[in-house]
Amino acid sequence: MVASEKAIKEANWAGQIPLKLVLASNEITSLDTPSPLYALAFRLGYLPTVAAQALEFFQEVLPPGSNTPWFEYKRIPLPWQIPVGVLYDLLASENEQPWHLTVHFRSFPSDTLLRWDGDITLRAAFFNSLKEAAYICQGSARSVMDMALQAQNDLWSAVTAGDAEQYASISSSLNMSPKARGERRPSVPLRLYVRHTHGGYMASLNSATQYTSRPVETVTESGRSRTLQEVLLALLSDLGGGAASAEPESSNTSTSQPISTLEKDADAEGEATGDVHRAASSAIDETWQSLSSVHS
Amino acid sequence: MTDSKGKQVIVWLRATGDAPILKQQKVKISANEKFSKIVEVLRTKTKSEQVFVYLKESFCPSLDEKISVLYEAYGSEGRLTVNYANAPAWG
Repeated sequence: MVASEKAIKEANWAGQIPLKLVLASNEITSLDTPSPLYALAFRLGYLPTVAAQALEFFQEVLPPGSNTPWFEYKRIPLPWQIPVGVLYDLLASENEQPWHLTVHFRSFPSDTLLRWDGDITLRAAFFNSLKEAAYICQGSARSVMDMALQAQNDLWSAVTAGDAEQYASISSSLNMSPKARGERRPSVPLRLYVRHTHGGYMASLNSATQYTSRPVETVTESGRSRTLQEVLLALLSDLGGGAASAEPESSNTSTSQPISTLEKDADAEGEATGDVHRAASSAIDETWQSLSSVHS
Repeated sequence: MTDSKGKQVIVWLRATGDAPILKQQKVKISANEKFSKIVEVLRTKTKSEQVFVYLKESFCPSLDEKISVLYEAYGSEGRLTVNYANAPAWG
């Protein structure tokens, strides 16, 4: 089991999504349509990291002015704070490769996307999630807030470069093993994204998907390890209660922890958390198959 | 499921740094609202476009998360304590 966990981690970090990026037609100032840019994006990375490459590629044909990059899939603006792999699993048509995205540098849709003030925004969001994760695991975000600037820089560059080894060596000092505190049982941070319509037309991200981000206890009252299935079933019925559709129909789910890389810290310790971690970082699809059959 | 339609959460708004202290520091907000509602309330009350909001004096949760979920995870003594500042407060 240990070996396969390692393999899963490595596969998670190494995974990349092939992208085909075209420039939004209303931002092209040349007579000829520029050729598309083909790029690879780390599943655990973020779209703005690809934006620098796209800007360099399309710069010549852009109108003069300042550039604020954002991406769109089937008319849906893509949130910059969600890892690329999660967006792909959540939204892309089945096995769509490369993934066809439109890149924009103007008219940032501030009504649908979180405010973007440059790359610093993404980094701040990442560390904010890391603090939340630390709080959930440890009962305090101290370890993250006390990180030296150099260590923060190195950790962030490991994330953007997909460097698992560097990430592991820095994050090990954060000591993210989940522990019980007071009457709260040990918990891990979990983010769950659910797509509840089949392919086809999506009016908006909010209408087609649901999302929650919260601590999940890793053991039951009696001290038994909880499985991912138990956790997901409870979350799905919770989400379903507040939604128009009573239950998710599609098999297209995706999970991510507040930082999708956190599991790399937390899993080495405590067998108690093993189920959630292992499952969360591995074949969600297979889990979903059994979930669907239980659910329907 | 009637859900928590009528349920409200007491949110305690605490000023941090130079942020103005509000006359009304405790507000009741529907448990079904998203966290962004609290940010909206603070923007209006402090008459400032930019407000930085924290839970547990350390992090800002997802703005899309429901207040009921956050209350369950991070609330205590019957309320959810939210710190606000007009500049980033906890790095």
